[in-house]
Amino acid sequence: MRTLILAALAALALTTVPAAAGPCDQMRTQEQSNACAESDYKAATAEINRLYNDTLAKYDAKNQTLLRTAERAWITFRDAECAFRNAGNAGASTWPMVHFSCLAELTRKRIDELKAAHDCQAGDLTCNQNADSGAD
Amino acid sequence: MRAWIIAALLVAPLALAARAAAPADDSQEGFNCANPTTQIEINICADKDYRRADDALNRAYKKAMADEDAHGRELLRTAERAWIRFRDAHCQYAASGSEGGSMHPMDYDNCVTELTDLRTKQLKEGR
Repeated sequence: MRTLILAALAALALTTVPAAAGPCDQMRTQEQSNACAESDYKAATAEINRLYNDTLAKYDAKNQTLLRTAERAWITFRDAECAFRNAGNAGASTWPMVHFSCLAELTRKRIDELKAAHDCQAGDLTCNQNADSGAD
Repeated sequence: MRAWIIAALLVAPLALAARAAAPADDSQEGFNCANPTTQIEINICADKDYRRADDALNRAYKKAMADEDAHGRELLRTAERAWIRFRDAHCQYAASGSEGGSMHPMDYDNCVTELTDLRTKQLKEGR
């Protein structure tokens, strides 16, 4: 009987592993969902930081300033936007999950934007649908 | 003759003002934004498109504000101001490759229009 219980516990432990690696909505408790959302946000932050630093390194001083200014403004917007979106959850146990999910979502959108903007900035005219239709 | 010139000078600004206040009708400009042919026309059309996007955003923002209580309105107002600063800074960066060229106004306007349309969509979706 004891072996059976141990086996069942072991099986349970194994089944929770894929869940931990999967989307946050498969979490069992609110604490787990919160932690999952936070770790997802941290992954997105690591990715944007790499992209931002790599992009910055390619520029001269003038473009570095433009990108740095844009990025600081984006961080202010991101925090203000997520504060707004999460306003209804103040004090609730879901607050951290909504907070980190919001930060991660906006960070991933910003990653796409940064990639596209870098192509445009570098003079790639195909980045702009109207750019090739003009004279001059 | 002199009276004619004075009359013409008086009328000209009125005609220009009427033109500026006219709705987005390309025929007023003497060309069609569906098929602009010079860079200047393209730039004017890009600006017109931005104004269309800005109007839509203002409508969506007002509607979103109306759905909020005082606290929500304050948070949304802060977010919107931050978003405008971000959008402008981002487009100054993104369009800097064409700075000094005749395409730059179009590049900048297209960038601002694209972000504005996305923001309108986001505001319409609600939080």
